Amino acid sequence: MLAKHGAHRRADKHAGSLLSATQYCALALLLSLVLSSSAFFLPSSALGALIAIDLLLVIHGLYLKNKITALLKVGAAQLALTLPLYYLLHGEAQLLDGVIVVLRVFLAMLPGWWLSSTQSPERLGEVLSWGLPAKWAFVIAASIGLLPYMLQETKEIYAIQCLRGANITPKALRNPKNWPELVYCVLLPVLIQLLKLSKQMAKAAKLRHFGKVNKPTHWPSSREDK
Amino acid sequence: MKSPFDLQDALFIGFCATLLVVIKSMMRLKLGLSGHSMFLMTFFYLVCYGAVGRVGAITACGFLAGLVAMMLSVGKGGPLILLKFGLPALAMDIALLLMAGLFSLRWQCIILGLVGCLAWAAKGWIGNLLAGMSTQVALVQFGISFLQGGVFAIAAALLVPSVLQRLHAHDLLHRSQLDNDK
Repeated sequence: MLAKHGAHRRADKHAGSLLSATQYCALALLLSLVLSSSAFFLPSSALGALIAIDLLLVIHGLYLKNKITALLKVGAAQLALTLPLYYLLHGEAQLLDGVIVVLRVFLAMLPGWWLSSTQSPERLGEVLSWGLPAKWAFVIAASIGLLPYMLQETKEIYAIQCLRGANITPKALRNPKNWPELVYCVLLPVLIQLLKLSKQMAKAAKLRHFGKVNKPTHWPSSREDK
Repeated sequence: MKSPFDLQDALFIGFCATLLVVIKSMMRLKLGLSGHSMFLMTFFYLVCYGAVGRVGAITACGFLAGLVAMMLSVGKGGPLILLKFGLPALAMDIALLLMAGLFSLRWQCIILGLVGCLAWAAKGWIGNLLAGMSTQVALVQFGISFLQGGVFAIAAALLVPSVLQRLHAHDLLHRSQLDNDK
């Protein structure tokens, strides 16, 4: 496993020599899936080895300057919720069991953090689209491509509604009474925009004969892939 | 291309899923409560169902949201996030098949919200049991998360019918649930 991991990293640095970035990403996805599920199914005695492997992933993630505090916070919250329950229901003797359970859940989340912090989203998307029909791959690509536009639109609607005097400023939103107003003032117009946008996109794609040929064509891949 | 959705519906579902993921990632930092993600999830899933008006729309939205979340690297779950979005959606669609046409839109929404929340809490429960947590502790945690999520899910479910009615009033839903009711 160690050697494999090292090989992955080297392949990442000299992309193209051994594995392409996409294949490397697929392997990383597989590795994190295996590690995540083995956190649940391994016997307690083998947990030490799993911790050692996950520690390597953490070092790799931290080396690439990713933050792990959010994950640690989730783990601490889980521990704070579980241990008192164990203490109340089972007494002191089984507190260690509680710690092991929380450790397993935490170990199941760690590979996901490593995957999302070391792999670029585009490569992950490319791997995922291997198994998807062309239409849904197009839908996902279009959604992500239009995300900045949608966010811009949402921000504009929010700003305009604030100017009109709606009670949806961050201060007013502390009062739960104002939450429905947020839905009607911002979310509803955004939904209307989305309906309009999907209609336009569908029309534009159909006018370009989307779905007419069996083997879909793709925009050529960018320079870095070559 | 034997998919039951035409391109426009599929795109709308995709946009809803993306917006769900993005808003969720923006809200995550502000609120400490663990059930609030059920609010957004229920709201967008039900709007998708209402706007597309077909069984299967919710599942499509759920799995798309999971995929998009994975690609945008939202959340800490990695591959598990697909289940987190997908399972409640699948449960809601199955519930929809079982009770087709039995209730008015408002009650349908509330029941669907609760079913989704149940699936969401059950996912955590099964995960805890697999990790070897004792049954009682897991059950208490299941109860807590179901209650927290349920409040948010019902709040969202109550908002959806009036949102759909407004969309319908603008003549934007081309074959919605509201059309079928007439």
